Amino acid sequence: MLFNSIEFLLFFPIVVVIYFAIPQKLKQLWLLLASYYFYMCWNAKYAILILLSTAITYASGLLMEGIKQKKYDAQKEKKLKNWVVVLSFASNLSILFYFKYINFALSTLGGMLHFAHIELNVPTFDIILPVGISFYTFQALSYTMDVYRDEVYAEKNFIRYALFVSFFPQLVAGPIERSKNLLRELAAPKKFNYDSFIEGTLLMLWGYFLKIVIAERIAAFVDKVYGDYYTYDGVYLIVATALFAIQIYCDFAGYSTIAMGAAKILGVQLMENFDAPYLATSVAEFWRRWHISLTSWFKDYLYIPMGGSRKGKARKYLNKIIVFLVSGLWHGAQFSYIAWGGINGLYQVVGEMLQPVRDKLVNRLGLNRNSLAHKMVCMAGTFLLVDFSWIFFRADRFMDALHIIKSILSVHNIWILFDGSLFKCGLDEGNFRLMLLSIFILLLADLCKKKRIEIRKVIMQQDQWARCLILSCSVVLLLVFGKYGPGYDAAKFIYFQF
Amino acid sequence: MKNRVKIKRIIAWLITVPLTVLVIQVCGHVMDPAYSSAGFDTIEAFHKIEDNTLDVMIYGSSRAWKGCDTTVMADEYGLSAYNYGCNWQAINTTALFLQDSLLTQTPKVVCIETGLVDDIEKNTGMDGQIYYTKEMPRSKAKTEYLKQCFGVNPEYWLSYYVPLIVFHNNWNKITYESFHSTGYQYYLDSRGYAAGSSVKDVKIPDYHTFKQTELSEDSLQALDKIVAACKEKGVQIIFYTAPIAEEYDHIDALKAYAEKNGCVYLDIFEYADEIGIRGDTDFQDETHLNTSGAAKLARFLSEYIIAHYNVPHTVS
Repeated sequence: MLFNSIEFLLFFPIVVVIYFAIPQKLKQLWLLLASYYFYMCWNAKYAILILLSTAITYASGLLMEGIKQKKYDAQKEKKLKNWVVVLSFASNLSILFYFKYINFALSTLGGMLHFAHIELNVPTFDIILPVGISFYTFQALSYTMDVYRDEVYAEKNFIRYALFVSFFPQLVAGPIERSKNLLRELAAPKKFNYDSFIEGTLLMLWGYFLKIVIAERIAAFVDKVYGDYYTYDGVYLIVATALFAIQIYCDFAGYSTIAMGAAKILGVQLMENFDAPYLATSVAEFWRRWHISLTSWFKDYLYIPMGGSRKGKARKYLNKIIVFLVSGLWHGAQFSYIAWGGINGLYQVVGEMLQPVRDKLVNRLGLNRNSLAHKMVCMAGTFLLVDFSWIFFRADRFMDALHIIKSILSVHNIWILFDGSLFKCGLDEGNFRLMLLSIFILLLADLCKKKRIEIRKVIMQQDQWARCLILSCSVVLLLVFGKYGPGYDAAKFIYFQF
Repeated sequence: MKNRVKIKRIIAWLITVPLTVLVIQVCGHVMDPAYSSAGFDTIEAFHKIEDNTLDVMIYGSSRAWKGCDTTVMADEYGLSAYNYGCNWQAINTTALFLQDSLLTQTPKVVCIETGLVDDIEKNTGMDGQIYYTKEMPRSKAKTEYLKQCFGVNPEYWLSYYVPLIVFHNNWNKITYESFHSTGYQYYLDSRGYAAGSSVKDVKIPDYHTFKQTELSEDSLQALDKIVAACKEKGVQIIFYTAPIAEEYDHIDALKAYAEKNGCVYLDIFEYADEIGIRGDTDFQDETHLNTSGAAKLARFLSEYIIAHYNVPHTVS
């Protein structure tokens, strides 16, 4: 059930109405049933996997709580808790590995053996990747670690815990919530709040704008160009790559925003997952603003346990590269994703290494780091670096990405920017211009976000009639300018494939 | 104070929601393809005709709608005729038009153009061909037709009643015609006929060389519906295929079907020379007769009907 489908637009209001109509003690159960129904619309039998993940991590929390209560000596307690964590991680990551990485691992092994002149018939498995497995697995594992670190108490209420793992607004594509936030939110009693309803609706409408007005529109252009990059070469690929950066942002941020809005209507506050990432002035800052829930997950549960920055510079750089390589692998079982992750890791390391050089240069040239011009140059530079890495993310295979880079570097057809050729690549002139206008609106919104001007709060401060008018106009504009409807093959949210 | 705020909110929503729905419907109507509003107009015009006053009716796709001048049938032969064809009428849509018309009329003879006999309207992109049936009053036939077209897909059903969902992509094609349709009066005056006077020089192929294919099960079912509806009311059926500048491969199948079901089938390719239909003067494009060709076909059908059926007319 996609967020931008009729089924969801029928499902969600029904869930909300019943949710607020039933007594408090039944609300969590109702949401749990709705969440499993939502998930089972994708593939009913894979609900067993999410239930298994839930049961394993739920039991791990209770076991660790039980170990604490037995009051063993510190060393024994730590050892036992370690075993629980290892078992929880091993079992969950095994499931993830099987469904997501087994074929990749086997084909890589086969390739290596072939390289070593060892011919072996490597089997392949016909496996359908369960939707959202990477997201809910990480969310469940974060709970295990939080209990281990005594950051939360073990959740005894199975219904509430199962809902934490499977909460439908953020189940299939995040944000990856932390137990200390989401479990607390789910535990709090819920009453219908009109302001939350309006705010949540505004969030959902903004999310739909990002997805069906911007992302879907850009997808028509990018798919056309990337689908035939021998024909659409040079500047076509430059434009498509730049637009892909916007597409993936709007697609993913759109989903997250709809998720936040839906949760808000239900009285649950989810974390922000994006904070105007393309207005970052460095790659490091970009990664503090992009997919915040995943980046912070890797920081808290991989980077810091590996030593973080506490074991010297060389180890810090190595840790960063490893984290980004793993992040690339998390996104997909392909070398192109690993390359994407590796490139971003390299940016971080090289960026830090060259920091003293940059500081010296700024001082020598007498540049003002706080000036608008300097910030804009840094933003543009960051965007270029990040966008370059997106080539590996978007291309079907690693070798395709290399071909595309080679074609981009040839830059031999700059006239296509002026002769209307761009209007023949999946989008006519009207839609192309609308796309540019929408991106401009997105830029303004992100500028406000960066300046901490909360547009939603400004709207909420207006009187009832103004709010109704804004909602009404937003709905009409979405229906007019969105890409959806019968006969239209909506692209799934990009991050659903992870 | 709290109650006043609540009441204010409720009033605001009670006004905003219907207004939003109204704006959505207006936008949907403005954005529907200009040519589908002609479909609305012709259906509206038909339903303004007094009941049980028509003796001859024409059905079919635009090959019938633009290809048979019913004003000639009325003016020159005194036949009370109406052209209830429309753009893109697949054969199941033709069956619906026929069943809809028989609710208010009892013609003696119906002429069904079979150019799209092997097209079945199902859940397609809704460029207008299903949408214009909205103008028809509700009936069992219409419900069955929509079920055949939409299945259980809620998106299609919703699009039928909220046209903006299916036509919103036309936002950058809005023109003067989007706000001004021909109006039903045009079709009342023309007896449903959609005239096209341009001329395109085409070559009518030799019908002897056409490869022949069978009709599909869905097509046969639609034809059976037509025959059953007509038999129930004692209406005589003439199936005919208007000449076009392309091959047509169901002539034999239609001849066999007509014979089996006690109907007439006229392959106009065969009669084109006799009628005087010429490729250089009588076509507006490869598949549609112009006013000249439509008049010739109308005369031919009129003379056939007068000669073979007991239908009131003024020419002996």
